[in-house]
Amino acid sequence: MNAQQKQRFAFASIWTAAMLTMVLLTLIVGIIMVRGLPSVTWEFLTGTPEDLGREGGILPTILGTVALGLVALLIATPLGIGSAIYLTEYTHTSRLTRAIRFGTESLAGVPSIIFGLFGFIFFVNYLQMGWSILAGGLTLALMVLPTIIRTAEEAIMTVPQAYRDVSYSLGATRWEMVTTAVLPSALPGIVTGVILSFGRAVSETAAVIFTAGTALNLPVSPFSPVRTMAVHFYILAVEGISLEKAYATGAVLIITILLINIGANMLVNRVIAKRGK
Amino acid sequence: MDVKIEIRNYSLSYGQDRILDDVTLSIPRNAVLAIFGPAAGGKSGLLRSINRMAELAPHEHHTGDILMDGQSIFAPSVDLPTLRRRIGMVFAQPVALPMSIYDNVVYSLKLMGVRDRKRLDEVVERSLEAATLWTEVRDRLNTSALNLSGGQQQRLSIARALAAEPEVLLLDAPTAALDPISTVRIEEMLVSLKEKYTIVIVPHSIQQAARVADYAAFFLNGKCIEFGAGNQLFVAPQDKRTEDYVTGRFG
Amino acid sequence: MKERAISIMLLVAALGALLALALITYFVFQSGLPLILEVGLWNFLSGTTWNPTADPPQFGLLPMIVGSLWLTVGSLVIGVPLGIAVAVFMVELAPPRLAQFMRPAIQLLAGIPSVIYGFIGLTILAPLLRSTFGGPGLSVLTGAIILGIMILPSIIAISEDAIRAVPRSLRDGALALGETHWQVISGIIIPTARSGIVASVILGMGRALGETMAVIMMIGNALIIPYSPLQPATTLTSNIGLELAYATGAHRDALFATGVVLFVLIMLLNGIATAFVRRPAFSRRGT
Repeated sequence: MNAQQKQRFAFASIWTAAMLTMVLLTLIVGIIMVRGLPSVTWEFLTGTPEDLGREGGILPTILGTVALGLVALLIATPLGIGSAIYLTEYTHTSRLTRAIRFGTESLAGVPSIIFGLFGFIFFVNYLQMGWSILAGGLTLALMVLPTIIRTAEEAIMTVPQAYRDVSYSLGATRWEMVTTAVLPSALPGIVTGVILSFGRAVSETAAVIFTAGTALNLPVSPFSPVRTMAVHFYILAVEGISLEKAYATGAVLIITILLINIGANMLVNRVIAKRGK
Repeated sequence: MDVKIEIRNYSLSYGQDRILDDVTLSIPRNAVLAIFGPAAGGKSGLLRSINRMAELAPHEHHTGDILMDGQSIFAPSVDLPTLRRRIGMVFAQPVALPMSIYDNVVYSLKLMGVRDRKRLDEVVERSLEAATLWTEVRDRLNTSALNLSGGQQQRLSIARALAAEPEVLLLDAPTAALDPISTVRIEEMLVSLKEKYTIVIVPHSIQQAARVADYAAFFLNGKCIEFGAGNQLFVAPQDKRTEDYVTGRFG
Repeated sequence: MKERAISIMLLVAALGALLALALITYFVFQSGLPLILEVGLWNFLSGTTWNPTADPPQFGLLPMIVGSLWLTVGSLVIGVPLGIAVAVFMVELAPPRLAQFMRPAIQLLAGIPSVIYGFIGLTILAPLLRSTFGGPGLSVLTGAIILGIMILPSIIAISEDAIRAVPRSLRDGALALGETHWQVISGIIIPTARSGIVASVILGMGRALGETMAVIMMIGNALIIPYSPLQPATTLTSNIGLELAYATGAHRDALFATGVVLFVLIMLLNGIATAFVRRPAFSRRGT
């Protein structure tokens, strides 16, 4: 085979790979949507499950998902933004910042089952929260914290140094400079990170199932156990309860992720457009 | 010569890099002092030392003293934000903060907690007038400052600095990024401003220095080589290095 | 002084991640290490039988280790060539509009919950494999294929970055010398981007090793040491995921111990991956 032939073969393979990937994506999303959407009715979204989920709707799981996501973000967002501000504006590189970065990167690499284990050992048992929104939310907060820190840091670092100089020269303190000259510009980037983290919280199963439990009740307090959509989907599938409801729940999950991704992308494009001015 | 700022044996380094070396210089009140010289001569470092922005850089270290109105700016009792407000700074690149023209100008006032709308309006008009920008933007104060041209943004930067009612104005190559017309406007503005302010400018050319300066200082490699009034440094420099630079033998 | 207080509060926030890591490490080890020490690390890792509720209880991790190994290697076999190919495609071959379209699509692939992947494996792929090859369907192969697809986005993203980091001058210079595009890609670009690509593979490995719920749905969950990819198996993660809810006493401790092994393994892999990412994508080639 000469060079031209090799190239043709190689490029054909690569194109095949790329198209295959797109086909796979379409298949995965498509099958779930096609088989699941017909069952996604208003009653399904607002009703409560009956007969272990064979009948009825998934309202408690939607509420559970939202509750867990909110708790996780409420905890992780201020912590994450605060960390990012500290790392970018309040220190120069030192042993301490290197240690903090090591901690953040390592945390990002911990698999979700270990988070589930830890949450189970620490929040559920040691701190005696039981299977609860609180335990689940705290565990998820730790999972998404590195993402929020990373995106916030990136967003802050793209703010032009000139803004800081101007702000200082006009008599701002460091905190005033951060809040009036840096954060407003960094906000879209930060919010994108928060939205993506919410998506992560929605998709999580292993960490959630061992910290928030699997109870199908409507959540009433931070100490209520909840079942999220992802966990519900998992149980429906693995215990063979209802294929139809599983597909429907899966469809709702995918739609949620799609909406979250679209929202984040819209924000990113707005940021890019503004910067282009 | 009535001295506003006195620099005494001041040296500045960022880590291993020596920026200024034992500089002693008196800055006259209500006059324009031009600090000129080749690149990396320490001119920006000097400006940033006067409003204590130099210490924002990592591993900054300085010795010596700088006094304004007879008092050291490094004294522990000095409130940094207040000091910086007494000294206005304009940078080489025009910078419009990502907010409206109005908000840009009143930025420092809002930091100080001024909320009175009437007062803010008055300051906006006065500052933009002094910066010769008022007539061009008076109808669109609430639009984004990012839409202004480079020359307009630079004049906005000056208005923004003036709004804080400083006593000193430091300008680091303010017309370097501007077209000739904007440059002329700003130079004329400076001449009118010196009645109220002590002005230190790093000109972007010797010609500019000659046009605007009442006094001039030549900086080379972090040292102040020569200081003189009027055009003395340009037409009759005492030091050979000054002469070499002014006549273009290096630069 | 308000500034000082703010500074301290921000520092505390920044220490949060570090504190979390410390807590996780401490509690996981504290719960799992005692049993490992009691049983003996070697016995724990090489024992072929897992029967924690028997009398005497048997804590052998070998089936799970082998299962994890099979699954991870299998998913890499599927995911790595595909991923690198797509990365090369995105940077070198794709018309810009297509790449623009594919990028959010790959992002979506990354965002799909792992349980959806597992579900596809369970309801679509497993029956398909069963009817084609025989066997139970729910097997290492099913898991490997689906996991391979699951780790695609990570491999693509990081490899893409590494390929993009290769200086254009290298590329254009070779093209100017008359090399074909493919020769440039295979001979110069990929070798130069080697570190980043390796990093993406190691990261993908870590992800495959750490996946739990999807694996449970697809791998058949049989406590055997699989000798063929068509056999069902158990992994370190699926074992924990299946039994944790109802395990008590020593059984539970054994699951924590499994967690310790998993934790150490993955953190090690992450460390190696980071070391590769730190190396510049552009490695100086000796003359």
